[in-house]
Amino acid sequence: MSQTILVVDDEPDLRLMLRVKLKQQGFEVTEAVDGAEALEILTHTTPDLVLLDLRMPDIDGWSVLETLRERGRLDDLKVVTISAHAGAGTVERTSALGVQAHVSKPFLLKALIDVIHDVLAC
Amino acid sequence: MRWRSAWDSTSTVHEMAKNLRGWGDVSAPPRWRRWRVPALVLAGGLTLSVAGAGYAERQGRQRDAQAFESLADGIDQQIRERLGRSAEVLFGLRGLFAAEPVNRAHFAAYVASEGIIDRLPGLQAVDFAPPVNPGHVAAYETAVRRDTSLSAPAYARFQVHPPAGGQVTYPIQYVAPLAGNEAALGFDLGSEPMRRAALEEARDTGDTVATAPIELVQLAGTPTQRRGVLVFLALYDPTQQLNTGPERRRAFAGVVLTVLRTQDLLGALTGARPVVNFEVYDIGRTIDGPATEVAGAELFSSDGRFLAAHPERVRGPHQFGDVDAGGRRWRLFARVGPAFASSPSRTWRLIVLLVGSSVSALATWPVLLVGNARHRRRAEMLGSFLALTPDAVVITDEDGLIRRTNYRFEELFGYPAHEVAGAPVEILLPESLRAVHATHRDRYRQAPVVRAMGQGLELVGRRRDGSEFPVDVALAPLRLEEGTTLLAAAIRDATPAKAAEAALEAALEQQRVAAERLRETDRLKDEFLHTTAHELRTPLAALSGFLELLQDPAGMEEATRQELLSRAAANTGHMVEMVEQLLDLSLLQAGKVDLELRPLLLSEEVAAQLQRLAPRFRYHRLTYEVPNGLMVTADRAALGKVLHHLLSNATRFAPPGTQVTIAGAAAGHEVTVSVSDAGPGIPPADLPYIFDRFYQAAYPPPGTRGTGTGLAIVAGYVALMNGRVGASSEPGQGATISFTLPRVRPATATEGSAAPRGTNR
Repeated sequence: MSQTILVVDDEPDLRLMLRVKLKQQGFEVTEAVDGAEALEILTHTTPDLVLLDLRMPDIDGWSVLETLRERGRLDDLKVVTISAHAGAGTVERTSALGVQAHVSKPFLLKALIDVIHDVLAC
Repeated sequence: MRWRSAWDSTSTVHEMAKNLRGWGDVSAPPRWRRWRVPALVLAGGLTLSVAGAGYAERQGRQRDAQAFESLADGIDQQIRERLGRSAEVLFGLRGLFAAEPVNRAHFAAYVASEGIIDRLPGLQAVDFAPPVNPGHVAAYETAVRRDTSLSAPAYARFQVHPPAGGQVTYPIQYVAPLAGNEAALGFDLGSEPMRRAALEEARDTGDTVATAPIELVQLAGTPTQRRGVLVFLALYDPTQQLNTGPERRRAFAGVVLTVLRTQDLLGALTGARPVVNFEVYDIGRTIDGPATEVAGAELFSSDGRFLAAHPERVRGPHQFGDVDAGGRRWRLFARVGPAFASSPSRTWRLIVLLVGSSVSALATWPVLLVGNARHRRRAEMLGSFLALTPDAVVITDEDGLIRRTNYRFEELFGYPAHEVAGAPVEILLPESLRAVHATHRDRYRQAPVVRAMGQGLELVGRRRDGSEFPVDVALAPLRLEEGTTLLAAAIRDATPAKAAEAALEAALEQQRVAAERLRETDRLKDEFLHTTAHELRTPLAALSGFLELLQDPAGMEEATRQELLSRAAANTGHMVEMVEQLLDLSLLQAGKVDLELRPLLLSEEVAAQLQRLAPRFRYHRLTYEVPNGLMVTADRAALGKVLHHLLSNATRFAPPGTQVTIAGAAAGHEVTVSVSDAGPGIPPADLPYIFDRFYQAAYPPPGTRGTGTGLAIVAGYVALMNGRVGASSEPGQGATISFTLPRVRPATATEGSAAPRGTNR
């Protein structure tokens, strides 16, 4: 039974890239184009992992994380965050929220797949 | 400034000079003060004259005293000499008696041969007297009469007299010369106490011993004429010891004596008109007592007056001196005689006094003239300086009364000089400040220094017409030689300075605003760099990801592969476009864009761009409102870029399905092109800045991509093509961006196309 990954990113190109790569690796891929859609999907499904872009218009990745924490979903959800601006404190803040890993753009797809495997393995 | 123009016309200069003369009196010191220096000169001169006269007199007196002292010492010396000669005579006789038995003839011959009598003035006689015991007088007389060595009637009648009363007698046995001294022959020297005392002392001491003044028995006349002294010297038996008084008494063989007439002994020392007069007193055997005491016998006076008891009454130099006269002390009192050549000190004193006074008086006159001239010059110089200064000058006295003003003052305050002369300086101040100014003025008078007045305060002056104006004031004390201190104030109208200050303040404010704008631009530039880098990285990251996937196409569907390739191309195109924009912006910024302006048909250019952008208009409704035949002067490439930016912006901001309108309209010499969309519009706060470089980049509208430099590039090109840009927006209702271009009228269109740009007549 293949594992499901929710990709949350407003960039169509990034979603395309991740979708192709993750499918190559044998994952089921669900996509959300913004934070609102992601939260909507997460109310009735529980993917094995969420790939969450932190920088999005309107409801961004941080808001999604806050809402999930309020709903108590972060305990059973595995989340890997992605952001271009990995400023000081980003990793600390995300891990404090219970995020399993953080990946900074730009990244090699191979490296991201390694991180995903690591997170899913534990 | 009016004072400067004063130099332009000689008549004005004359007027100024006239005014100066008027002011000259305002500051003139009281008349008596001008006499002060000359009076000091005169007083100084007179004082010097008096001092000089006194000095001359003192010098004269001193010279006189010295001359007199040496003359008086000469007198002393001569008296000592004569007394010494008398002693020599006596010692000579003692030698004679010691050598051989001396009879009457021997004695007379010795005295005559030595010329003794002639050599000593006042020497009346030289005598010999032996001691004769009372019982032997008769035998003695007989023996003397019997001496035949020298026969004379007087000797024949020789008799001791006066008759002795049972004592040892000392009759004078030999007298030389005999003539005139017969009365002395046989006179018993022991019969009179003073003679006896001196004789016995001579006997006991072996020294010459003088008597106190006595009356000589052989002379006739007044007591003064007969006054004299005897000087004794004892003769002893040469075979006897002579060490003590008793031994001498035993060996005593008689006395020799000189008989001296004091009038002659002392009188011949001064001439008929003596330079020095002197008095001689016998003060006995005293050696103690004051050196000026003359208690004792008056012995002699060269002019018959005895004044030594009251020397303070003697005019001119005088002095005391002592002489030893055979064991007795003679006190001399010397005083100036009528012939004393007093140095001409009085004359000199008078001359010095007269000449000095005259010179002083004469010197005073030029000093007075010079002083007056200097005063005039100073007044003129002050006037010139006051006329020169561009400031209004007010000179006040110590009571704050105006003493002098200058030409500029009249201009500034509107008061003629004569009107303020003598008025309190406070009339130049607003009434509210007058009281406090008076106290300030008092304080300044305590410690006057050159300084600016009221530092840090806004000073206000008041004109004659009551108007007030800001002033700057500098203060300086003027110390006049006359001892008064005036206070000079230079007053400048601060109105221009205040205006300049305000202008400077405004310019500074502008600078501050400009600097703030520059800082903001700088900050925007930083933001722009940041955003641009980010915006370039996003397509780069996508491109890089697509290429990574395409490297391993195993198991990939053909459709997926095509999509990846298409997206890679799209991202590359996007990046190329961004880089183009950056390049455009940088060229515009550097002014390195070369345009070829020429008449273009607007509809053609718009159509060309719509064709290029056709793919983007797939989801929008386009309204085209560009009239045919509308011509503009523009660069084709630049106009293309402008249209491209505006149209692509519209498709970017307007949601799919909404309307985008492009319109053209001619108005006068201009053609206005506008692009409207029905997007979210532009917030009113941003509207003024949308054409600024970097602004869009720093504040990108949500959900957009790109460097945000599009509108800045539009504005840059439009400006180069002599047009203007504009923007309007209703938030939520969309936005319209427009620009103008110079219109080419149809009549000139052919001409314009026929004649390329740059051709001119």
